[in-house]
Amino acid sequence: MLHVVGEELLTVGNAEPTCAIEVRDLQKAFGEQPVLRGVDLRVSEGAIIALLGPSGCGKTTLLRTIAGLEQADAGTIVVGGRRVSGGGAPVAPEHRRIGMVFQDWALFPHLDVAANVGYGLPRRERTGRRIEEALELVGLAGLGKRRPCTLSGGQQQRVALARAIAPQPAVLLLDEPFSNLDTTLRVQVRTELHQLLADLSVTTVFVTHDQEEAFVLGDEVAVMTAGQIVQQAPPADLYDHPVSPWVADFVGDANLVTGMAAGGRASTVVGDIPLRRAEAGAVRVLLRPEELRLSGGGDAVVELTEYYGHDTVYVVQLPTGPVVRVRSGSTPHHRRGDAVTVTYAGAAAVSYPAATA
Amino acid sequence: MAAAALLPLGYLLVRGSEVGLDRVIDIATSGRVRHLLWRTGLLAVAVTTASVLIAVPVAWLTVRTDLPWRRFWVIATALPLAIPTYVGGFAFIAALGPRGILQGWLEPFGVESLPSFYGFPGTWLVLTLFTYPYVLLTARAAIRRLDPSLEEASRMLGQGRWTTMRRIILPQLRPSIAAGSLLVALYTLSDFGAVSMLRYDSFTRAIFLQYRASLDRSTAAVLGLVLVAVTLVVLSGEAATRRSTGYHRLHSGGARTAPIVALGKWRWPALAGLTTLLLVALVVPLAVIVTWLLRGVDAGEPFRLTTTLVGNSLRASVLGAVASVVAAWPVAVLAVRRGGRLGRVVEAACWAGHSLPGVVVALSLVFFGARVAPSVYRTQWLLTLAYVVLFLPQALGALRASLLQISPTLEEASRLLGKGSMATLWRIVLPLARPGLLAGGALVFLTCMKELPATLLLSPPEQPTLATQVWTATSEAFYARAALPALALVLLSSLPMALLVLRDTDR
Repeated sequence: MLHVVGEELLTVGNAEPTCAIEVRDLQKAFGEQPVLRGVDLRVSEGAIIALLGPSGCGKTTLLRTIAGLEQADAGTIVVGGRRVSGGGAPVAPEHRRIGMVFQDWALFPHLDVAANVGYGLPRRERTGRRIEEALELVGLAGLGKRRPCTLSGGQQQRVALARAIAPQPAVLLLDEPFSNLDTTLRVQVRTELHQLLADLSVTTVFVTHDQEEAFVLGDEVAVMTAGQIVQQAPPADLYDHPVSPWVADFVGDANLVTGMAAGGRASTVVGDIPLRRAEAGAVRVLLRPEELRLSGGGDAVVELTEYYGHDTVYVVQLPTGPVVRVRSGSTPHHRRGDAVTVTYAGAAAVSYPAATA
Repeated sequence: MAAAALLPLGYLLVRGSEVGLDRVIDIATSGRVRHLLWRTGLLAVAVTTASVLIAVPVAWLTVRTDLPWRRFWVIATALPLAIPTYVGGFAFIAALGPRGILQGWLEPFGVESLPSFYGFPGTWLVLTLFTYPYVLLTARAAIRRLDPSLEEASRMLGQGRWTTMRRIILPQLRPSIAAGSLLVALYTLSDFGAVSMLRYDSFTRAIFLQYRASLDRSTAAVLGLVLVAVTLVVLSGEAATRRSTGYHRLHSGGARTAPIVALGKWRWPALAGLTTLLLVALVVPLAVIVTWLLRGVDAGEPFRLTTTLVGNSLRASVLGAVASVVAAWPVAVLAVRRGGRLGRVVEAACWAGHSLPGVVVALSLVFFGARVAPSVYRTQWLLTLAYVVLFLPQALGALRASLLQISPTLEEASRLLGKGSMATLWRIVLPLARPGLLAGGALVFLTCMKELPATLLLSPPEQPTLATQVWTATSEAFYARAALPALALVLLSSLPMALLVLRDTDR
């Protein structure tokens, strides 16, 4: 176990995969308002981490604090084995070797694309090769003489990325990388960025409030709420084993059905459900919509049918109590007002004691 | 409106053409004109450079640092703009000139005369001290608009504070500094009060003397045309620097405000510098005026006239402000709502008046009044017309900005709710545009109060104003008699000035 703080970590941490960023018990308040309330985050070398959370949860502040643009009140930040914050004066942002792509990209409007990309390079490297390489990497070769304002949104983002990676930073940070793009562009740009990040294999932390973006791009997703990281796991683990009903709901469609547990099973309105963990008493069971099945006839009623093309979601009113969402194959078989029966077809389900939020 | 704005220039051209082209070329290429060109250009460059060197650091200190009493400095450093240059000139002459305060102090020690304050050094100092706020205000606005993420991006790319300042911030500020410098340069070209009082041989003074001293008005007209040409050269130079593209923000960015820089050990030098500036540009002039005022009281100087003077000044300025705002309204509506070529042409024509020096506008209106419209010559009306021609763009700028903020859909909604265009104007557009109307009016009022050459040449003889009184008394070295109107002028114009600066900071 690691009980050592800061630079000594280097010698101790060797057994584990090398840690590119380690944040410990980070605290930060704006005036009276606490924004980071003891954040712990570990990012291994070369990984892509999504910081996912609702607006106002502190995820952007965490990113800016790692970058050195905000100062933490307490806690430590270690980047590439070097302590940059906590214990002694914080390292200035320009000395942290961190690249950042800003939410608005912050391209320097008075410089052309090449000068933007070359901005962070030592003077003698500011011409030619390095810049051209960086532009080639992001697929913008030959656009060096253009002004940023003459480029499309997606191209501007790639210039910002090229500028951030040109000085070969230890870590790359992206703040809401897609929020400034049209929805129609987003998916395409996301795939391009994904490809680029995969090719670069640079340690990356990006902030998003969009669960889909986090799942698609992140090797791991750190879910943040109210100034704390509540769970950090690979996307599939997160989806299958959320630590709380709140996380379950935040990372995807969730039916949280109450039931009485005994042994390894819980009896609920949709029948007897096998549980992953033995519990007793009142529980809430997580049933993902795709784990439920509908069959014609019965005493549940289809309230709404939402057709998405690749699948269909039914909003079903159960005879006693809750409304559940059921996801099934692409062709809608039931219509609003149809009588149906809901059954569970999944493996052992996750459950929470009834009192947890 | 556009025709009225172009009237002075047109009349000047007519007048010039009557002289005959050969004679015009003779005058324009004479040694006298070359001398004036050199003197005027030297002054404009020197004043503009000094203004930038003072204003940019002051702007930075008052916006982005933890300077103590920052709000006080924000207002105080802009206030010298409320002191007309001829009042400032009067104050420095009354302090440092012959028979001035300093010489009075030194006389017991046998000092008979001081090094002359007249000429280039004095004019340079006075014009710089009272016009640098033009650069200060534009630079300050630009610093507030700076996108903080650009600085952050530069830091993240490994550049320190000073490099970021040099490579990112100053280039971003350049267009605004250029715009402010343009105002200072144009002001210097057109300034009449300070150069005349301090006897610096520049175009405006030469034009005025030519007109007053001889009956040869053609020469004055030609000199005026040359000065207009110089003004146009300066204007096109600024326009050329502006065309080099790409200074606007690419995105609106976050609403985040830029971080405040801690001054640390630089705090005391900064405070000392600002205090010196404030002493020289504000405290000393006011103290000198008050000193002479007290001497005047001791000597039994009659002050009865002053209420009439204040009344005359206020009336002329209010008329000028109201007329300018009323005249600017249709132009602003045309430019903002219709756009198109007509709007642009009319707007450009209105701006033309602004770049004409006051003495030139006044002179051409004198010609015009004496020859074409003797019934309005030397009445309030011709003076008001001069004010409108000179200051319409100030009202136009403010109105335009506030009209741009009113979404046309608001008017459309009002129309669809059954209100006619007049009712919509009255109930929707005017209330929403009110801040712009008030700001534009205040600005024009302020400028009219300070205006000297047009007022001097065009105001009805029986109605002297504060400005003309300061001028007359100072030119006859009756410093005590000039003190009270000068003080009244400063006080009356600092009020709208403070309001405008506050409005600017709160935005």
